[in-house]
Amino acid sequence: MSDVWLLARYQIEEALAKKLFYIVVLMGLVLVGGVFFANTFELGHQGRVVRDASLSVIGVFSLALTLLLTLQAIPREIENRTIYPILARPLSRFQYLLGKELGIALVVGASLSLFYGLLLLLLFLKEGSFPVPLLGNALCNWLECVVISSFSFLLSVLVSPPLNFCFTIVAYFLGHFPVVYVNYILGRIPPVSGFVVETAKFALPQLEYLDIKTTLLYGDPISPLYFVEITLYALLYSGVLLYLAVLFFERKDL
Amino acid sequence: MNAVQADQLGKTYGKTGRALEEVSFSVEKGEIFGFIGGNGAGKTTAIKILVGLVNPSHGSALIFEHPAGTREAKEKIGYLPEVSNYPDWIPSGRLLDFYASLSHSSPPGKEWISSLFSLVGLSGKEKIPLRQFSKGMMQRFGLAQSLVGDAPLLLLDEPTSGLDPQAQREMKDLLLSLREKGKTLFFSSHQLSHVEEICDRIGILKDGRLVACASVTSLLDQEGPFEITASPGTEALAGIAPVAPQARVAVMDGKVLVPQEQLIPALEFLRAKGVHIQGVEKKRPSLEDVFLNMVRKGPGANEKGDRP
Ligand SMILES: Nc1ncnc2c1ncn2[C@@H]1O[C@H](COP(=O)(O)OP(=O)(O)OP(=O)(O)O)[C@@H](O)[C@H]1O
Ligand SMILES: [Mg+2]
Repeated sequence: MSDVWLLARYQIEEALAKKLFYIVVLMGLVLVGGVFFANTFELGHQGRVVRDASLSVIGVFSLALTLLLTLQAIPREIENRTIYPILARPLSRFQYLLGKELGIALVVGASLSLFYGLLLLLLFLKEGSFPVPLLGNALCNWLECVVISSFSFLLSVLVSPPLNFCFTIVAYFLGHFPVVYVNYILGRIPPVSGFVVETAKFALPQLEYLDIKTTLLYGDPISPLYFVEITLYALLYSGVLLYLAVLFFERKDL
Repeated sequence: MNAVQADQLGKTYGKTGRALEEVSFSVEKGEIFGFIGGNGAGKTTAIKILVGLVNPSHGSALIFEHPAGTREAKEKIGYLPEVSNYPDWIPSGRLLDFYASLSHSSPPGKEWISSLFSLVGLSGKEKIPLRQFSKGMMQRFGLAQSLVGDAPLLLLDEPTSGLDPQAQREMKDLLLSLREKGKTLFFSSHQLSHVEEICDRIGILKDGRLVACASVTSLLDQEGPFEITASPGTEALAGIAPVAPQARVAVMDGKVLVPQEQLIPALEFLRAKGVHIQGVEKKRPSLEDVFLNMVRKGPGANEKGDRP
C-alpha cells in the first residue's frame, strides 16, 4: 500500500506542477463567485437559482479537471518514457494504475473542496447559515468524477487521448440519461435489441443515480442509506474498470 | 546461480515485426556482460524483456531465478533506459528520493542520495530540476537512478551514449568499480573498444538472432585476421578484392589484412600474380574486426560460444 501512496503523491505533485490545472481551478472559482453575485444582484436573491447555477458550474469544472488530469496521465508517461524508471522498480502495474487513479481522485477532491468551500462561504455570508445538504451534492460530484476518471483510465490504455475524450464525453451524457427513459424505450423495442440496450446502459456509468441536485434544490430529503449505496456503487464500478484496465495494461509492451 | 538466464527468447511486434528470435544466453553473478549489435538488432528489446517492460512472444527469462517482470525479479535489478527521459517538473534530488522509496532495497537517507550524485559527477545538483540538465547530465542522472536501489544486477542500455570522452572514461571506471563491489553488469553499447576493455563475456546480436556469445578472449582468439606481408609498394596487392572482399590493403606498407577464411584464396591470388610473400602472421583482432566480420556474414553462419 505504501507504494500506491507514493505513486499517488507523485501524481498529485505532477498535477500541482501544471499551470493549466491552476488556471482551470481559478476559472472555476471565479465563475462560482461570478454566478453567485450575478444572480444575487440581478435577479434578486433567489436561493434556488443561485444554487442551481453554481452547482452546474462546479459540475462542469470538476468534469473538466478530471479529464484534464486523466486523459494524458498514462499516454504521456509512455510517450515520454518516464514510465520506464518507475515500472522497473519492484511494483506491479496494478499498483501503478491504482496510485495514479488515487492521486487524481484526491486532486479532484481537493479542487471540489475549494469550489464548495467558496460556495458555502458565500451562501453563509448571504443567508447566515450553512446549507449543509449541499455537502451531499459535493460527495455525489466527487463520486461522479471518480467514476468518469476510471472510465477514461480504462480507455487510455486502449485508445488514443482524442478518441478517449470523445468516448468519455459520450459516456458522460448517456450515463446521465434517465433510467425511466431507458425502460420506456425497452418497452417499445423487440427483446433482443432491448437486451443490447440494457447491457450497454449497465456497462456505462449510471451517473443518473449520482445526480441528486434537483432533489436537493426542491428540499426533498435524501436518506443517508442512499449515500452509502451510491458510494458503494461508484467504488465497485471503478474497481471493476480498474481491474479491466490492469488486464489490458499488463499485456501492453512499453 | 545465474544472474540472468534467457531461454529461447523471441519477440514479434504486431504480426510481422520480428525483433528477437530464439535468443538464449546466461550471465553469471559478478560478471560484466556486453551486448552488441547494429541498430535495430534487438538489444533494447531483449533488455526490456529482462526488465519486464515488454512481454516476450516466446521463451522465458529468469533474473536470479525469478521470472522477469515479477516483483522478486525487479527487486534485483537497476535499469538504465536507452532514452534518458525523466520528469522535468521535480528537482532531481527529490526525484531520486522518490525512485529510492520505490526500490525497497535502497539504503535510506539523504547521504545515500548525495553520495550517488557525487558518484556520477553531479554533486551539488540535487536542487536543480531536470529540465535544466544537459543531455550528458541526464545520462549521468540516469545512471544514478539505476543505482539508487543498490540492486545486485544492473541492466544498462547504452550507458555511455551522450557522454563526453572524459565522462565515457569515468563511466568505464565506474562500471569496473561496481563489479568490484560485487554487482553483475549487463549492458548494451556501440562503443566496442569499451566493451572489449571491460567485459568478461559478449553477446553479438544480428537481426534479432544471437550470432555469438562467448568470452572476450575466446572471441578475439578465434576470429584473428591474418596479415600478409609483401615488399612495400607492391601494386598487385590492390587487386585482391575479388578473392578477398574483406581484405584491408596498405600498398605503401606492402601489407594485407585478411580474415581467416579468405587467407588461402588471397595467398593463391598473390602467388599467381608472382608477388613475393615475406611473411604471414596471425593478428589479434579488435572486437570491432570480429563484430564487423560476424555482422557481414549471414545470420547464424558463425554460431559458436563457449556456453550459451
Ligand atoms: N514498439 C515497437 N513496435 C514495433 N517494432 C519495434 C518496437 N520496438 C522495437 N521494434 C523493432 O524491433 C527491432 C529491434 O529494435 P531494438 O530497439 O531492440 O534494437 P536495438 O538493438 O536496441 O537498436 P539500437 O542500437 O538502434 O538501439 C527493430 O527492428 C525495431 O524496429
Ligand atoms: Mg537500443
